[in-house]
Amino acid sequence: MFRLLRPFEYLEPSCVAEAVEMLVRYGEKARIFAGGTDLVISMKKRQIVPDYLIAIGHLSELDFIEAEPNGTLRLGPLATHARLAASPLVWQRFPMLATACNEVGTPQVRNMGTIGGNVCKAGPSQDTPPVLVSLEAKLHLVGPSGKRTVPMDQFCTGPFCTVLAQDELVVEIEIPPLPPRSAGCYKWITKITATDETLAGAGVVVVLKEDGSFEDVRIGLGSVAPMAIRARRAESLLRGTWPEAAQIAEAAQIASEEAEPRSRAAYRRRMVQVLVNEGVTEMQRQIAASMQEAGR
Amino acid sequence: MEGHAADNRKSAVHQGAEVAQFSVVGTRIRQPDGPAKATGEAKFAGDISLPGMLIGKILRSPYPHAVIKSIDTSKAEALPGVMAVLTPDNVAEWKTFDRGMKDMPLVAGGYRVPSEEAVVNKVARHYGDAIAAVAAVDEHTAEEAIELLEVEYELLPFVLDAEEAMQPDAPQVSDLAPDNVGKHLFYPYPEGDVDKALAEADLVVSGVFSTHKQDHCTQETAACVAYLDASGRLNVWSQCQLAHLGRRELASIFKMPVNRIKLMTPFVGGSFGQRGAVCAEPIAVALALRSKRPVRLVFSREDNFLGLESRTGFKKIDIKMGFTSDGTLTAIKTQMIGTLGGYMGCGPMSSVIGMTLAMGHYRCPNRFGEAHMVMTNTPVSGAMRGFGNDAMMFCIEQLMDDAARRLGIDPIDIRLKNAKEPGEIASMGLELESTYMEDCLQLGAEAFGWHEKRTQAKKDEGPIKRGYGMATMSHCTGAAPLYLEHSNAMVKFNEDGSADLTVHPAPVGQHIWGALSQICAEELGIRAEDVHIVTGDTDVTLFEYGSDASRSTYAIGGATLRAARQAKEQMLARAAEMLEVPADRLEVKDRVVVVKGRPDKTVTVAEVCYDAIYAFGGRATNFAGKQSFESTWNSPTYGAYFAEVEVNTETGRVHVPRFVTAIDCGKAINPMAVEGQLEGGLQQGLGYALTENFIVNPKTGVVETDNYDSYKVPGALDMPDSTVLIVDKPDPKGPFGAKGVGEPGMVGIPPCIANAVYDAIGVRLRDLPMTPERVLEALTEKTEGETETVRGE
Ligand SMILES: Cc1cc2nc3c(=O)[nH]c(=O)nc-3n(C[C@H](O)[C@H](O)[C@H](O)COP(=O)(O)OP(=O)(O)OC[C@H]3O[C@@H](n4cnc5c(N)ncnc54)[C@H](O)[C@@H]3O)c2cc1C
Repeated sequence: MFRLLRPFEYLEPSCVAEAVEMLVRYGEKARIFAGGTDLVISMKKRQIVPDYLIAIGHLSELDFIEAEPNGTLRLGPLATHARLAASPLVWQRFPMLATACNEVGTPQVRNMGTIGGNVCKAGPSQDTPPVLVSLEAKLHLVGPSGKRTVPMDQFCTGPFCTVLAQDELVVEIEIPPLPPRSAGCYKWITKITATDETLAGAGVVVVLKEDGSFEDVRIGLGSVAPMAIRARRAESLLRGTWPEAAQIAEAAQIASEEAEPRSRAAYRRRMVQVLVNEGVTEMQRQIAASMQEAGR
Repeated sequence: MEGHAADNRKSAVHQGAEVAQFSVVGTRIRQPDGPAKATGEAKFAGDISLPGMLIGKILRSPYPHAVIKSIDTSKAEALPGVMAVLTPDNVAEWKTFDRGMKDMPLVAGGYRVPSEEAVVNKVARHYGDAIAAVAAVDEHTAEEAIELLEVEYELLPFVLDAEEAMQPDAPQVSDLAPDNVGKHLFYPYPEGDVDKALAEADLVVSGVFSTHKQDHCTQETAACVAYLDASGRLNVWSQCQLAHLGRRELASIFKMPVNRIKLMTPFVGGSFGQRGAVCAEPIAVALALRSKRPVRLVFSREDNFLGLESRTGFKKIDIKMGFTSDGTLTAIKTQMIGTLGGYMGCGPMSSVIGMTLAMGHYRCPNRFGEAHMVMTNTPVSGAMRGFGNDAMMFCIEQLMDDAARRLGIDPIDIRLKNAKEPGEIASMGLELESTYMEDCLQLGAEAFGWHEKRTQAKKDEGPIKRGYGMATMSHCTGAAPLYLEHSNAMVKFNEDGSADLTVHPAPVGQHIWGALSQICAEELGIRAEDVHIVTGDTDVTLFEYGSDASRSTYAIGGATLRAARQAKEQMLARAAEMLEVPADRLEVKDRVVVVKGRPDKTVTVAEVCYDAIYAFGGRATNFAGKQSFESTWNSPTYGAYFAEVEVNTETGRVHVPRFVTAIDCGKAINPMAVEGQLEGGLQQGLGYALTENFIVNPKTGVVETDNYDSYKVPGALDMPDSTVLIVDKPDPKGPFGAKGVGEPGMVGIPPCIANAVYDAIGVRLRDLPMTPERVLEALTEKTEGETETVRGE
């Protein structure tokens, strides 16, 4: 049930270091406030009742979208879904991330909501984690004892739980470049209406060898397990092979078995199968087509 | 997954050649309440603020069935700022009220809905039942006080399912219904021998259907402000659609003469039938009386989902229809089991009204229907746009399609074959005044491209299967003769020729003020903007049944027309004196009285009105008309609906890319308002058909869909490309030929989509909502069914 917000103090640190200091000082009573699209709802539902909100929205050091010459993409946690979806740097390199960001909620939510908040919320149905998991992104964290880096697939420990310590902040999301002959996509289906929560999402990355076999395939699943997961058994069935429709379908079936959905379980599993099948098939076709194009 | 960003609405008005030329009626006027709403100036109940006003909050039962053994209020009362706490024991004197307000004098034939509901309840009969309330100086204090109430519950066994509730050993929900059958009702217009007719029919089509409890999802939640003034009069800002009945209801609960209550209707953010009862009023008034302070009570969205009536769901609708081989309908037999919830509100009548409208839609000599309306420990069922016609037409129009297919007749032709003609007896047992269903079918089919689409070969689109479906419906205009249909209006001329119209509809967003001002202005011969609407205060307005049953334009408009005519006659009599011609030689148009055939001989309406008011020598008078309207006829509105659907056979999702609605609502007083009703109805109908679902946890009785994060209303991106066509031929009885249009917008949507789904995938979906899971399940059954037949052969 939604209720009134309890009173809280709104703090505006002048830099990341001060934000960390505040986290240390107020401990469990404080929360980082980025776009607030998620936090305010949790507060209204009294799932979280913080006494202090540490606002970071104005910290420009956390607000960037940058690409390195080698293709690595560095995202500040404050990058909003709207800006990520519209950024040429993003949609040229990782269109699947732009797709996922563009799928989040409604324009209002995309204008306010940040990728940092999306990742740190760590809810099972967030849209960017299945993509970031399949892209093997890394998160850079800062705490009182300095910096550390955590691979995306080790960041979540359960629904709404992460390895982030109480006094730590995500300061960057790093996405390594994809090798040649690769492509990725995000496939999803909402619960029922157009702007609804995601019922199942699949981030699919396929890398082909020159001979057309699967050098690598990575499948990140969202909304169908306590957190975004990799469908590793399905991946290994395909890796190193020249899969045809039946084999991709079998891998999709295995991926659906790797999912652990709670509500509407049978339907979600079935959708995982549909999405993975569609994603892998399309990426295989897409890379093959561009290889043919390049060969000409 | 992709929506249409562009404005995807189209519409057209098709006037009959014989239509009289109007100057105000039929024009797309800007609504009188538009600027106030656009600027935010419009006051809704929740905007009203009074000095010293308190804020109310409600405590709701977390259990579906429990006795409230005790409530310890000491901590809450000790909280500074808490001014009143209501518990079942301390409000026992304000005993029961009739939720639906549909008692004896309102319903013909003595149909009565007793209720054992109190302002707050000693026995919680459903999850979310109101069991206590507080008033405090601000919302935070009120919320804290609610959290400080210590309730001791004695849990009782509960039953959630209507069919289980009918079992002999089921827990008893209400003392009023020992067997849980709140009402055992029959179709009121039975005819012939239905069993014999079914036995003799060339073809019998049948099915068992179910429908669900759609929530009205009013944009504004229930809200009320109440205070007792120094003279002991109760002032209430109430959203009630039926203001005078709301006042009567409060008078009976709080034991006051009706004229000690001033009930004011502010702007209301949507109703769709939900405000047909008193909603926030009883608790707000009780808190005001106890605290002796003004109180504002605004429901949360959860309060709205749990504490108010929503659409009556039917656990089972079993229908059989008989046909001769040429497609003539010979028999309809209906058996329904409806879910009432914990109290009897308007729910029971959903069955009677639904059967009446749907079983009388087509000509059919043998008809029988029966309903068991069953009490359960779930939130209460009531009336919502369609009032049961939606559920019944969902079934009948699918069976009609089945019959057409099995007899090899086009779905449009079978409907035309069985369509009623003017002069026959209409669904409500009265003579049918007008029907242009054929025009609806023709216009709709043409705009949709029905014949081409149904005959052309379908392209291969992989897992997407495309289908085309149609449906028709008719819906009453007002509820005569089953319900009281009494409206009143007063019209007075001012000295400058402007006019004030005093009426009391509910301004729930349907733009009724505009329609009434057009009717008034057309009759008076002035412009719509010359008419000021005086409304929203029972101290000033005459008795008004209110705004429900698609009746406002028809019935309140009917009273308006009569009152305007009376005022006009007075004005023309004076003009006749001034122009020295008999009054019957005068006509009035665009603010000027003209002698017929003598365009040079004129006097303005303003001059006549001025002459009457500022007159000496015993000639002073204020032209004013006051008239009642009680319809003893009922002109159904007809509609034809056409849908294109894409069914994804992998995901089970049904997408509706295109929809055409063609409506015969008589003369469209303001086509823009008609289009608004039909587009809104389409959206609400899509939600009912596909996305919305009121889910009660079968183990705990907890309502799982108590807000928009779980209860899914379709949004702009889910809307199809929509075309609205208005036949625009006048009805002989309605004011300037108008009929109702509020409910028709949504009644035909679910069967139309279901028929299109059948066309796409060859599977009948008999349960609402048509969820992806149900679509996939039906597809699986179909494939399995097919394999069996093959094996059998
Ligand atoms: C109507 C609506 C629809 C939505 N639809 C979707 C959807 O389709 N898909 C989807 O994925 N999400 C959706 N969301 C959820 C939400 O909007 C997104 O998850 C968004 O990205 C959250 O970002 P934020 O900046 O608003 O986070 P906030 O609400 O500010 O924070 C969320 C959490 O992350 C923590 N946090 C934020 N930034 C940091 C940081 N840098 N370091 C450490 N902790 C941090 C906060 O303390 C908080 O616990 C929706 C929300 C709404 C209201």
